[in-house]
Amino acid sequence: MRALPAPILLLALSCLLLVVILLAASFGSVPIPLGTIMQILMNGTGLFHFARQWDPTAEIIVWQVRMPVVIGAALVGAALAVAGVLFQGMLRNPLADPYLIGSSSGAALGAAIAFVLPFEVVFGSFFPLTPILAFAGAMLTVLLVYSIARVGGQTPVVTLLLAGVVMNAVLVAFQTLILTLSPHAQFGVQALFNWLSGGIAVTSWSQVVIVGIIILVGMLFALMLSTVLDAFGLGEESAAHLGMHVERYKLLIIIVGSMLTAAAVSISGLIGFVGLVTPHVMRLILGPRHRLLLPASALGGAIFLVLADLLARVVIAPAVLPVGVFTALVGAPFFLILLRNNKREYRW
Amino acid sequence: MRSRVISSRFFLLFVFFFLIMLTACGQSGNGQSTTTIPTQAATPAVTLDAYGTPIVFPTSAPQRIVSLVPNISEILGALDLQGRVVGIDYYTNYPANLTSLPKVSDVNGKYNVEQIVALKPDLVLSYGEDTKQYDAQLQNLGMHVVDLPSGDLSLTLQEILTVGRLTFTTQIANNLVSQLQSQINDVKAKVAGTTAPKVLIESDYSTPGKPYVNGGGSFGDELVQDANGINIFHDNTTGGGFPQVTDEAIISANPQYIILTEDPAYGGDVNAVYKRSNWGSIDALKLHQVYRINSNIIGRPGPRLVEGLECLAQIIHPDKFSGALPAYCTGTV
Amino acid sequence: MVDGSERAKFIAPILLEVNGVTFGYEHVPLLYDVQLQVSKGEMVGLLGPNGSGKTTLLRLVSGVLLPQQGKIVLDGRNLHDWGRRGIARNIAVVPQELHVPFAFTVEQMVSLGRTPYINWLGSRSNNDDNIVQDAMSATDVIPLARRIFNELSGGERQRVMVAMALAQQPKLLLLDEPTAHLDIKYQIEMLELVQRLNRDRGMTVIAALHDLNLAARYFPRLVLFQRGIVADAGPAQVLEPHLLKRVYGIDVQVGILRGAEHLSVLPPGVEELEDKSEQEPQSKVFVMAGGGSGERLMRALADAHIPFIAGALNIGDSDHTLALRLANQVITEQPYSPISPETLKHIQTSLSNTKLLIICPMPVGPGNLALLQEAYTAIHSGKELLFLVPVLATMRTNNEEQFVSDNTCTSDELLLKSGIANRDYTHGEGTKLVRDLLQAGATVVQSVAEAVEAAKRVS
Repeated sequence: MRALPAPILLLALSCLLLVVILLAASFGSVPIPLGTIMQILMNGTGLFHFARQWDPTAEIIVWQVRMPVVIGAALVGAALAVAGVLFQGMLRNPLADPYLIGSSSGAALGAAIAFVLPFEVVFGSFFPLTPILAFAGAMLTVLLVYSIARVGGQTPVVTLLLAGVVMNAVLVAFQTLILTLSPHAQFGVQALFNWLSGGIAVTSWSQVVIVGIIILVGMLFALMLSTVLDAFGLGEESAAHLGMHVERYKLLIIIVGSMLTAAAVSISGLIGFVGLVTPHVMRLILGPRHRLLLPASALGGAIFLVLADLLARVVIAPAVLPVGVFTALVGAPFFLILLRNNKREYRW
Repeated sequence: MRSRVISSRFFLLFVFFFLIMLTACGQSGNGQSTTTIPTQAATPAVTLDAYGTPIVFPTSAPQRIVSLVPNISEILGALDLQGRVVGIDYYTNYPANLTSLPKVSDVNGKYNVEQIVALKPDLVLSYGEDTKQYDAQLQNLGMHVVDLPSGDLSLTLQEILTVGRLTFTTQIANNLVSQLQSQINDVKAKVAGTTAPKVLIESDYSTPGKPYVNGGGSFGDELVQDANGINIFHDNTTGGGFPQVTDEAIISANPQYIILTEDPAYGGDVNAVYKRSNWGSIDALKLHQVYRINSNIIGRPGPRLVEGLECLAQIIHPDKFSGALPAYCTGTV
Repeated sequence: MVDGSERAKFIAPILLEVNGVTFGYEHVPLLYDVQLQVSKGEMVGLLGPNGSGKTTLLRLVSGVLLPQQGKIVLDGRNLHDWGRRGIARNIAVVPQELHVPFAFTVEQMVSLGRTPYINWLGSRSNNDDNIVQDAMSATDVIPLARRIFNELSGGERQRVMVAMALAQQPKLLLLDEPTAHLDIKYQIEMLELVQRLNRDRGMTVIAALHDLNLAARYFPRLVLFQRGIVADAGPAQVLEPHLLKRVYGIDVQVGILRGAEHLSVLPPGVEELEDKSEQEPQSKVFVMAGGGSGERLMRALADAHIPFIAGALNIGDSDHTLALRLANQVITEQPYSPISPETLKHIQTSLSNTKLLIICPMPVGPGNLALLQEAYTAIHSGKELLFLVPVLATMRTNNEEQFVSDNTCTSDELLLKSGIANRDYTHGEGTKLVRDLLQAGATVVQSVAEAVEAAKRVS
């Protein structure tokens, strides 16, 4: 696979993503024939005008209920995978995932606060509170962890990781405290449980668009960091010898990675494994050069999450399983198989 | 020659009898059929929803109603609307004729928006901002969503009237509410003047030593008041009406009646209470006055709250009531 | 004395200049006053034991660390004015080892060396590819191009690292112990490669080495380093047994093995050990100094070829660095530490063999008060003791050069002359001891020449 030129591989992945999106849009609690769905979608692009032979509610279901969720899943999967590549590259650690330095507990705390506040929306229904607070919580926590770990102009990786662990613990304690003391305790606990298990919680296209813009901008920045990440793989000192401003780039990577993670988490809760497994798999298939790895991971993560969300919706329809359960059930064995198949000591 | 169709005296007499008939019909109370003209409601209906905005009442009777919460389902059932309900939530379990309808939510409280859309409802009812995450979304998808505000027993009765207005069953609603109101008055009259015993209503004992109870602001608290009892945690308004307290507090308050409300499979076992350590000193245990009441009749804001009131009153003032405790007091549905 | 006066003079322009650089973490200086000039095309080996600061020096030169004092000049411009990228385009570093957690191929690794030249998009031009190919062929790693870097042997990996450095098109190549983890075959292969690069491409090389023999073999210029430059010359001058003993702390013998061309450094044979005490000239002179006070005296003694013992001196003290070069024996103490009991014993033993003790105008504090106390013991066991007067005082009495060792001065006047009052940080203890010493018969000399005369008399 490494022999194939990059553009062809990326094109293949993109096609696969489109197929998977189509598949995901065609399944739900209400059966709608595939042909109808295709026609509805094509009509929606404005390029086609099929005569409407279907029930108008089908169109509402496909465009207003299913597609935001599917596109949201694709965006979240891409964002988490790219964030995973960024953190694994910067920390040079195979167990790094996007949540490592505090974004997960920060987002969860933000969400918990949103669940117990008496009001639901900011500036009208355009900006629901939960995603905004989750995003803010994630970003603030990461920046706090970074400033704790920064000593004398340098941020040693180990200190960063430890500060992240400590912050995670502290924030989880706060979250428990808030939920215990709030008058909406029971509702808050249930809602938080649902949120933590992970699931694409978009209710309108506006949310998808806003989050999508943030994620696409973040991915663009990440792509510009490909050379930096390659050089970081040699170690910080060697990267400095190659002319990199190591500390500046570390901060930039942290900001971009956390922005992607925070945006993803704001609409999906905590979905694990996508950010950990996708970069590994892509590296094993396509090699470690970040110029190819970043876009490939974005596409791979999107495909992975759209499929996971699809399975979560149909396996015990009409009930919906938490997506996080699926990513773990699918991701973990896949990863273990890949590990075992590499006969030598695992080089990723 | 002057000819009048009706002579003035006869006209006046006619009008007079007409007026008498009107007032007579107007005074007619319980159990009247709906053949007469709709009468004035006994108490004004609620017109603002849970978010404080005025409720938009439909212009024609909704035929496809979806209920997102169990207490609304009970109200709909009481208003005899099962023929027009097309979807209920996972936790609706009463009345039985609604339980076979499609469920639009799951055990975790997640609602299936797709399914709701597919049911093509013309009225979606919810209560107390329990579905606030979904209300706006469903509204934006073109559905008529009404989320009624939460409150106490009298507000609940008013909301029954509101639901009646929303579903074009005002007469049934009026009658129902009148009946419920008179039942309440009945109970209050019976227990008037009795000494109020101390009562504990327990919600959950799964954390040993730190149970959740009905505190100030919960329906259980209000019903105990109405049944002329003293809720030992009446002053505790934390936890949204269901505070977590300690064994110590209960033992020192020393209630004379303990009412469990858990499902028998999940801790609602009266015999187990007698085995709780350190509880032996409580009067309720000494006097063997530990009971269990179906939580749905003293917790769900609906018509069955009155049943709960009656059960509670009979338990704590048994001498004022004849006959055995009705079976529905200890049911599980 | 070993300095650069005998090394081959290069006509080539100076590429790198390290000018009076001091560096340390916190307040402990790791390197002190380093002065080094490297011309284009030179091949310099940096020697020194572990902890001597070699790697730190390399990191200062590569721009990763900032000197606390002094400056580094690259090709006429201050090093840090070049900017990170600028430095990377001129200086390449080959580290000891690279732990790469990614499965890069050799070709990908080498092309990482082009990082200082490519833009943020990461696209490489034909020129870049050509340079990469060239670097790979120069290091003979083209057959390994598609292999995974981590799966190569140590020697192969090292060659790839050199190729990566070459791809940076540097003017200066820094190698940090390039042979440290290699088998002998690969050690030689590595240094042959570096030598080739130096000869064929005129690559300037500075390599930190721990293997003295290989250094002697491949590097025409060696710098012996112990927190400062101890020696900077060809192998013949730098690999001198006494010098090596002082820096490395072990006896060695240096010679040319039969049939070889270059020097070899080996542990001493058994006979050598027994002869050692006879071969080494006994020092009769003991110099106490510190804080730069002994510089002139030590230089003068060395010029006069009078062997002397210097002590106790703290590492980091400029007198210590000088003494390492000039003295026959140096008694060393840890930086900023008071004189420990072991060091004191050492002083006592050494003192017992000497006849003359010269005390330079060093500052006296609680840490080295013990020295004066030992001097007291020494003078009472019959040794001659001279106090060297500080330079300032000498200048004042220029007309009276002969005045000095006149014991007819009152002890108070002598005390004043010794200048101890200005240098006493022990609340009077030191002054009291000096007074006692003067009363016991110590003399005050005002010029270095006088002191040297006295030393000649006892040697």
